[in-house]
Amino acid sequence: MFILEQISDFYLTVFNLAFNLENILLLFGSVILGIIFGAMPGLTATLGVGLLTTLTYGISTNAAMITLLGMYVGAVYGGSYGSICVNIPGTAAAAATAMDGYPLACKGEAGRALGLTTTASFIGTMVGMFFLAVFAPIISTLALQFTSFEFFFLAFFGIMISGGLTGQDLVYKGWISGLIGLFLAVIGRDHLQFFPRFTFGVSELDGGLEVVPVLIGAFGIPQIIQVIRDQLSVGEAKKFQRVLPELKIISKHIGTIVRSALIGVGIGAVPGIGEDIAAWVSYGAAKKASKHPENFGKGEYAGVISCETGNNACIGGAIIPLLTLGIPGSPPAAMLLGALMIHNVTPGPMISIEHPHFITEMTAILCLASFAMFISGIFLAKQVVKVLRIPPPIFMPVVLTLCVIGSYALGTKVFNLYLMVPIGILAYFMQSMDYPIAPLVIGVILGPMADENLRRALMVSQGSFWPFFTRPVALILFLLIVWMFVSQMPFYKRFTAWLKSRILKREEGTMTP
Amino acid sequence: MDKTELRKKDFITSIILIAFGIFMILYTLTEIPMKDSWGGVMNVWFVSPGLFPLGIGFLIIVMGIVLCNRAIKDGGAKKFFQDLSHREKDSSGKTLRFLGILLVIVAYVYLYIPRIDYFLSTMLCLMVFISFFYFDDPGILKKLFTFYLAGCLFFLILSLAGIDKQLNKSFSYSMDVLVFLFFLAYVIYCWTLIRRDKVMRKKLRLSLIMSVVPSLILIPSFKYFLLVPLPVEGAFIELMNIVRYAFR
Repeated sequence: MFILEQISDFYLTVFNLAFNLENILLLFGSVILGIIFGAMPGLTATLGVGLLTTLTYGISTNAAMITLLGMYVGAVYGGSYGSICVNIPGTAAAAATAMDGYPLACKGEAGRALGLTTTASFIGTMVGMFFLAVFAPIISTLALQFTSFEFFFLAFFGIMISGGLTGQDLVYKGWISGLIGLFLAVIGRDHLQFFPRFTFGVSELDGGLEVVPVLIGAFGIPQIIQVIRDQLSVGEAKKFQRVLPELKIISKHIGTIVRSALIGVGIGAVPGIGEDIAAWVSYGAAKKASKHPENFGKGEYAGVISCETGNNACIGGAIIPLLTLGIPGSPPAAMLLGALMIHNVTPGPMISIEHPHFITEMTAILCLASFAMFISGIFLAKQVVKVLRIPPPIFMPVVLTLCVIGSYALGTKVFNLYLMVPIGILAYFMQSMDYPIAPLVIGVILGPMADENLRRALMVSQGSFWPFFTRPVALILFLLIVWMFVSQMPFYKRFTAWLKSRILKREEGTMTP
Repeated sequence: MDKTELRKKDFITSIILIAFGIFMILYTLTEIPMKDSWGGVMNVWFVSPGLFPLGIGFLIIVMGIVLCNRAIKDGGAKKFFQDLSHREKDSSGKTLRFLGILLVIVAYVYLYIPRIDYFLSTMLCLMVFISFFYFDDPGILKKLFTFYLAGCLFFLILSLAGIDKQLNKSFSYSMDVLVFLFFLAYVIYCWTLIRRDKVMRKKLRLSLIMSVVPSLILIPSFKYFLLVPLPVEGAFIELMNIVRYAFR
């Protein structure tokens, strides 16, 4: 009965939202805007969601979520346009798509490749939505059992895993990035005793750093500097006739789709890991499972399908920890968190009590957004490709003004801009030295959660650390954190290498007569 | 980036991180009460607001040491000391491009937005940013950079000396007028630099359009539809108000 109730509630919400003209206009408008944002090299889904957040603070929560999720879904999908047509991925999430998408376009199959990405993205988003609908209420109920001990480790685990998986050069560069984020989160009056920390007498810092200007600064400014400094130029787009759903090819690759969708959802659910990693892992898995791996990189349909299913399935996955634990699963989900805060929705275990229909509404919006993306993709692809002709020196300055007014408008404080710029410049330098930015942002978001819960937990235990190790979930998280840290240390690597060589020697010893 | 070059930067970063971690710990221990009374409440160490920053400071030092160790092993420290004696000049022009972007952003946020009409600030920022890089000519970029920097320094001196307030007091919107004149001077200077080239002339026209049109869309949208009070509403926004209320 409960499941039937949930299903009927979901369909009712979908119809309620869909039969409102304003919602539909917002949905299609934001999805198309998202596709354009995703298609343009240098503009990302994170930046798109961040900039649109500012415009949504005057509208209802539902309308705001329709706009932002529409932008998110559209931008993740739109990245494939640049990958296929000009071999420059519009977003990092679409970088893997270029591997086989562009060779397909060179063979004169750009329309077919776009048809495949449109269908695969649609299926991926729908699978992500399914997992969101099924798992979010379960995790939310489980999370109600969590206490400060678990939440402290959960916040720390989020930063550690995000840093560990996004660090391109050295894993601990991701952790350093997360620690800098935690430091930024400490600035301002603490939430338990209201003592000013690291404010240096600047009264504007008393309230702490506002999340949205930090997010816009950290993602927007480095992007602007990088694109303009490195003179990113876009070549002539490959021509194509029509974009069709390509159901025949899709049905042949159903195994790839299922595998990639599951990978996408799984990676999305891990805190701070974005769509780009989901796409690459899906691509790698598809290549490994293929009977003809040598065809990958030369215009293989499975390559395009796997990346696009994976990165779009990641959206639903990323929203699961966001809604149930208050931990964003990807950088655009971090932006969504900022938007939710503006609309007085506090994500976390209490969400199913404070806003009982919210998870269903988000699921319904994701479902509508994937339909809107599919329709827009099929009918507007040819027009959207035209935006690739706009040179970056023309649109990047406009993006800067949007970043500035976006950061200012939320609190109408010029001080937010004074913060946005140095954070943006810091993020640029960090990025140029291969420090990932996502852990920094996750640190800023999860810092207050870690700080408050650590002290609350110690208050409950009267200063004893013992309960951190006696509660099963807390202990598991603690062990995972310790393992993640130790596994990157040189002595551990030396030890495992020594252990492996010993085992190999022993095996060789038993093999030889 | 080349691995040794990256490790050199890692070496510098690790030193900064260690120093920053030490600063965090010292600040926490000296400025944040660990056990004393605060706001009439007696503190204990485990609820102290200093507990968390102390932990972060410690972890930053640990990470700094780990990074430093790696940088030294991979030859980053050696490269750093080698480069101290002879520095190579950047010939790709990327440094000037970076400085150009930085100048535009810093001047827009710290100099113009807090003092000048928001529409005018945005229009100037867009014009300068687009023209700097759309012409795609290092020689022109250098000249435009110098011209814009000189203008920014002039307005900075005016505001530091408090002359801008005196001018605005004696004649309303006088700073807006001055900045608008600077905007016109900048456009004319651009024209003199590129007047012989047809393609460049087209680019200048587009730069001008792209500096005015987005400002005309963006600013009224925020002011009249989202009802956001803008940082400084000077002569141009006053003009917008007159136009808007004339049609209401």
